[in-house]
Amino acid sequence: MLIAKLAYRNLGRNARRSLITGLALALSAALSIAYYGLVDGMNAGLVHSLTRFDLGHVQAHAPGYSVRGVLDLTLPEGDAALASIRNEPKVVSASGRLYAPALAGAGAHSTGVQLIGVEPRSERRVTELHNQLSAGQYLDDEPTPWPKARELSAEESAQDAQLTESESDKAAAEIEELPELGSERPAKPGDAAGAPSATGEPAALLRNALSPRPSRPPNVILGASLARVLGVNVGDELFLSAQAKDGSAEGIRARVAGIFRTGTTGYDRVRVYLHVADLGRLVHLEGRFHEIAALATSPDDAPLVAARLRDTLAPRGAEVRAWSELRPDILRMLDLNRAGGVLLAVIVFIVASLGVVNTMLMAVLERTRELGVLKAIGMSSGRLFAMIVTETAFLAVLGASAGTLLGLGLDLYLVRHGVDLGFITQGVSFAGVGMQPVVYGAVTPGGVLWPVAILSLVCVLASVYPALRAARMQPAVGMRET
Amino acid sequence: MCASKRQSWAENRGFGRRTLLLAGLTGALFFGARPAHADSSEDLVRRADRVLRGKSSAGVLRMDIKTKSFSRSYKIVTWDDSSGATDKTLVKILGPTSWRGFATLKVGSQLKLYDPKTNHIQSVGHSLLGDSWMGSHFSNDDLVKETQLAVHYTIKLLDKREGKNELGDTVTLHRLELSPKPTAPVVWGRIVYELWEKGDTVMPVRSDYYRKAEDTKPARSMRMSSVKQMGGRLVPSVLEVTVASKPGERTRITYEKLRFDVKIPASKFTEQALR
Repeated sequence: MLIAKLAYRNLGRNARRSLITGLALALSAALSIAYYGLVDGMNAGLVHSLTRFDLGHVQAHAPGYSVRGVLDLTLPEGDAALASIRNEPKVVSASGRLYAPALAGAGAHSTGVQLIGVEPRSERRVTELHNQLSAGQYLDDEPTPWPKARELSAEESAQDAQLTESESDKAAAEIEELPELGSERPAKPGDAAGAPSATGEPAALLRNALSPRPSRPPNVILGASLARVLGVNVGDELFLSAQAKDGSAEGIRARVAGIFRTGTTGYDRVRVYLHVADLGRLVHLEGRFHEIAALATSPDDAPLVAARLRDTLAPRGAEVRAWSELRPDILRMLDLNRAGGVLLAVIVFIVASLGVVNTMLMAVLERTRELGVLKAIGMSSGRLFAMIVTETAFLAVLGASAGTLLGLGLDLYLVRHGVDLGFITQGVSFAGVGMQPVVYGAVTPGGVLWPVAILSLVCVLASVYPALRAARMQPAVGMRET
Repeated sequence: MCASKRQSWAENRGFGRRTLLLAGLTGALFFGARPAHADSSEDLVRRADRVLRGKSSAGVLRMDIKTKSFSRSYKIVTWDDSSGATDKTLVKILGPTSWRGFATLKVGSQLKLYDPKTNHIQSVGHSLLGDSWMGSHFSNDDLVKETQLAVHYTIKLLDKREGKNELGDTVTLHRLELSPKPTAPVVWGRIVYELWEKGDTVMPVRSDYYRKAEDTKPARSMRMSSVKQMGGRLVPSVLEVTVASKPGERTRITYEKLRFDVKIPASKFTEQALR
């Protein structure tokens, strides 16, 4: 008690010096807290980008789909699995998806794309794609009216075989007619151009039974970079050809309903969204899903929700994983960001603690005579040591308290207004996850406690040297000083 | 999730020889190009390699594809003209319904696909060359690329013996090993080529394609059989391709009509002819 009192009084002896040192500590604490808040905010933004633009918090696939990603690996019970996921208490919403690689073409341009079939109604509650449209509108809730395909009857199959035979006979006859190379007789271009083989009336009827055309071109939305590559705009037509489940090539004309810009090049360049029922028709996977993405009440609940869904769905042939398992790279990056925050705080505090060492050393040297007297009248070295350390601790606590208040103030500003880093983050993505232009702060207990704890520790360590000097002093030598 | 979930047809990539449909396959680069002073193994490979090639060719064939998920047969007509400055090829599916009218046009190194369902012609860019051609074990690349075995590989005789061919004739059977020359633009590390020789006739029988020279199992194999007189030549009328990574699967081509060195009108190789 006596020591605390002495320590407190000593600080007041040179109030200006104590204040300046305290202020340095307070500022470093405040900046660390604010920086930590920003890192946490950036991390939360990253998780948000990752989960709310595409991934969701929890996903279900057919086992092996995430490795091989082939067309026929759909979830064994699409609708039933979707229903069980939606019934899970901590699940907010869930949406089924279908994927297919395709070739998209418009005019003379064509490029490989990823077709993604979504249920617009529930997808809107899982991801935020509908908020990222730069032109046009989102997909309609209802699928495009599209007659169902049917098998050919025995009679039609026979007719089909006959058509093939007659086409083949025609081709053989045409080949037979060709003159030898080097002969005088010219090739007959009129004949050789040939009658179009696939456009006869019976052929068209057969084709329409096997792969009927939609009543109008289905709506699609695509990324801004892709739209630029293909040279299309809202309302334009697009050709899509994909390989169906049975390996046949299925092509349709589609209409561009909207163009989105997520900021992630990988998405904006290759993705084409359409109604899951439309894609199902196109690639002969009606009513099937490759993936179900679910949104939990919070990203932190995802592992728990995933574990519980695993219990229900794994026996039914589905693989369930949380976002942190789907993207362990992102999880590691979040940890790395946090570690970077701590490292920076440590550096700042070491610099600040040099000020502490200076202040305390000055205090000890200035008071050599007084300390000598204290020792001479019987204060032990240990208590003298404790007194100096306590003095520093007081300084640290005062600085940290003021710093915490200031830091929280800065944090609150960052939470409300954020920092516009758009000029840096434009088009930047971390491991395929796009950065948002404005980074907002986040206040977490760790973000406040860690800096304060590190600051106090560093200060106490910084006081060891001055305190040792005081403790080791010879009373006679000390008193002789003036 | 992933940016690309393209079905991997990587296995079909770079088959290297335009054996395909292209019946005739182009070439004729070697007709009289080099006199018989070349060493005999090289000469044998060169002659076997051009059995199915001509300055131009046209044919009707059946393609039977068997994979784990489907079996199907196409009737196909092919036109191939390499007598001019640019090689031109048109391949058109005649049936059945789901594929009738699909056409592939190759002019030089440009590949175009016509889809009758959308009535749309699509240029095949570089990134799509590795994709399977119509679900078969051939890739688009196989249509475009062409390797002259005798030019791009050095040839070593492994084995030579008397034996019977599939017709029951006594012939000389040769087994040859082809190693790529250092600068050759080829994907295979080693090819083992089997052929038979009788009098003036040389006939390819089988080729095994190894990814790396030291591999013991071929990544792909092609068997040529059913030797027949077609278009005034003796040719193997059945080609069968198997891929090691897809056991039990195969693509088989059976020629039904084949003519070589015929005059094909230039209008055949235009976008109008695709439709």
